[in-house]
Amino acid sequence: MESFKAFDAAQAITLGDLTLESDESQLALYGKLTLLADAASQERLDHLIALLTQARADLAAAIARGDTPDPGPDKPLPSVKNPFA
Amino acid sequence: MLRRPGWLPLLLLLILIALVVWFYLNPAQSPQNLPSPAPSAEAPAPDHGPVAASDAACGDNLYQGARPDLPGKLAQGLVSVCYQGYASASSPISRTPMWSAEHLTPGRIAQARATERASAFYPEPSLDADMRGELADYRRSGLDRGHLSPSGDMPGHEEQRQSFSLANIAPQNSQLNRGPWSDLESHLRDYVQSKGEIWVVTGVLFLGETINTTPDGRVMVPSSFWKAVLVPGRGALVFVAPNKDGGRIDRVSLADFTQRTGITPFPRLDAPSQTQIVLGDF
Repeated sequence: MESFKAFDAAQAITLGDLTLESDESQLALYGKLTLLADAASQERLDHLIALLTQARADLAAAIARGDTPDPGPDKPLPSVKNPFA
Repeated sequence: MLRRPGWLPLLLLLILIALVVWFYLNPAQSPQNLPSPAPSAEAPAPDHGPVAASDAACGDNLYQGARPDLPGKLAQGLVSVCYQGYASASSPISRTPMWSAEHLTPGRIAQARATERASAFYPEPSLDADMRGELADYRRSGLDRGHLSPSGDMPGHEEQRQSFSLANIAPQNSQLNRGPWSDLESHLRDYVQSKGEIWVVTGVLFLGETINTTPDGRVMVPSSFWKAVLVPGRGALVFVAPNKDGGRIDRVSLADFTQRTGITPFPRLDAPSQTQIVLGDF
């Protein structure tokens, strides 16, 4: 099984068209995952459950550390004159 | 008259042979034989480096081997990065890729969808540190690290890992990245699996008088993302989305896109196909 650690360095894992993407401040799940009534789908679902179980533990650890930064900026993004205009 | 000793020619011959053997065993060091400098601490030698950035090395990712044409300012200083799964061009001005190209086939997508892969983002080691994006640039930006060539298109572990190079990443609005843009990427994979191969070039636009940057001011935030799709024998289409919350994805013909932006995603595509739209397919 591929390793994936949530609320840590910027990384992602892809299962079919479903992406779990995380960095120090957040975990995002997006895309889609279709499961059929077959052994391969069962294995994939088991993997997803294992990933989410691990993510829950990673989240609990992040909360306990108390140093998780906000994902957004604390002020509007800076801007510059468009060098391509 | 002095008599030359009879053994002298034999001695000279032996010395000559010894010299030849010595030079053979101790050749002069050419630049290729010199020891390589140790990799610097800032940029460790990766085991996932790009192949040589020639058109040939970019291989099958470029339609008929041609890189997209960009107008002067957008093309300024671009550096090619060619990997197995995609070919891209990075701007030292925006510190983002300007475009990333890939060739999608049914076999590639079937393999991609069957493979579960985890990868970490990393700064592109083949680019100078001054001209590339760094992981820290994205911190607390509120923006996603948006893939140009999606990781979901990558058929194997190595290609997947390569797709996480920041040479394939630009700051993208999270609603767009995780919503309609992700749906578009998935839809194109469905299309390839049901209808056949396509060529795709995904890029960024910087429109307007001012451009946002990441909080540290290093990386420019594109105003729009575009994705040009070429279906061989049928035509082409370009999807364009503003890089903001709730942005919708517009569809335009290649000709319109080129007229508006100056960008030609598939320079070797014949003129009739540049205007032929494949709206019905999507």
